[in-house]
Amino acid sequence: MIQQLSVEAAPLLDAPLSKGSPRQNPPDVEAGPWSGAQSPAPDVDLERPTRVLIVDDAPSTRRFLRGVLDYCPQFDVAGEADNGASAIVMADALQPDIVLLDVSMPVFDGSSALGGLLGVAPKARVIVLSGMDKSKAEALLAAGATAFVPKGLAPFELLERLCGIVGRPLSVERTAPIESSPVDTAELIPQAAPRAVICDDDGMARRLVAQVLAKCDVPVIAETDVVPNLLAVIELARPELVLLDLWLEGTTGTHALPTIRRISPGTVVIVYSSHEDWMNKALASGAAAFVAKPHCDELEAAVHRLAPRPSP
Amino acid sequence: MLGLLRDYGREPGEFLHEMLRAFLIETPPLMANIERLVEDTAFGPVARLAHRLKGTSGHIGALRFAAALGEVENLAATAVGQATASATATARIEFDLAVAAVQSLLAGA
Repeated sequence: MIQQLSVEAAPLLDAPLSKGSPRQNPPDVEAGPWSGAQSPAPDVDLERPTRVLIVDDAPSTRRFLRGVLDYCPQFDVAGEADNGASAIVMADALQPDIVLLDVSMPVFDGSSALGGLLGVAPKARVIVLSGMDKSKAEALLAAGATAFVPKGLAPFELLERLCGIVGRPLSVERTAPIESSPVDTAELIPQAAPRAVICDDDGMARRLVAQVLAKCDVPVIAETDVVPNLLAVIELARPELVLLDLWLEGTTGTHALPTIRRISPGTVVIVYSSHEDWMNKALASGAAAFVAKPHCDELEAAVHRLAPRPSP
Repeated sequence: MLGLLRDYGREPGEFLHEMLRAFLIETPPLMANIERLVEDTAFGPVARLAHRLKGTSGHIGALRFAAALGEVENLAATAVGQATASATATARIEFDLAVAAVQSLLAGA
């Protein structure tokens, strides 16, 4: 039995809030180092976008990756392939700077395609993007892949890692909408049973979200209506899942997202808000998904899709 | 929306009734607060409170009231005083209708 924390908030209307500019872009963020990243390519051309070939058999994953990359002017998606054989043909024709390569694919998988890709596009950096354990990707790294990036990262974290690998600073400027991360739970490597924290200043919304989570068999360990309490609980409990409203007392959930990522990188944040004009910023700031209120059925689907699950 | 709420809770309809009762108890002070703040021309809190109440009403399917609050929120955010007051008056009408509808639903249950 998990004890539910009760986190009370300050009165709602102590101080007036000014509504922030909904279209304001997040500030530029320096890409940080990460385990497994190679040093930046010495010949990286900062004057033009890095051209990317996406190779994945799942259309939803390709769509997601394109959406994320479209958000970042440093990248230009040159093409997509749904199997290794097509990828080699396209890499030969397109000569991309990087190839995002899934491993498990029908017809001609990533392992089989790696040698061919490097053969036809020797300057390309092949980044293995897979749900497999990194230890299993060692053979691919030894065979010439530049880096391994796990699937299931939030859009912002994915961009940050890719920028780190190619040695470019990250900025997010485009306004094309990013779809919710189509994380395939079968490909994820769960770290723990999911526990959730709810942050919403609307008590009725919190009750509803708690019901949604109960239906998804995700226990709620804390509810709060302000960001400082949320951050305190996250630091203490490192929950697997956070359900976050955006317009909160004192600060916005959007501003909290980078902090959540920093103090608990494994926490999946689903934003549940009626501020649809803040969706892009929330996703670019680290939210795994944005669900518009009052669509609690879509929230339920997002929880089913994104909540990390224990191994069977 | 109400159909979705019926599916939550231990018994069918239990959570829906809980939400409807909560709406009757929790929202009248919020609506009154909005009206008071509009009189005080405190547009920042008006926008925020209207936004919050918009979410609450959307969850129980009071969509006309939610739309009226959306209008209040937008106008308050741009500090358009007279228009905000007018939109708030419209929201009050929709709120009273929503309350009557919820009371009717609970009475018929």
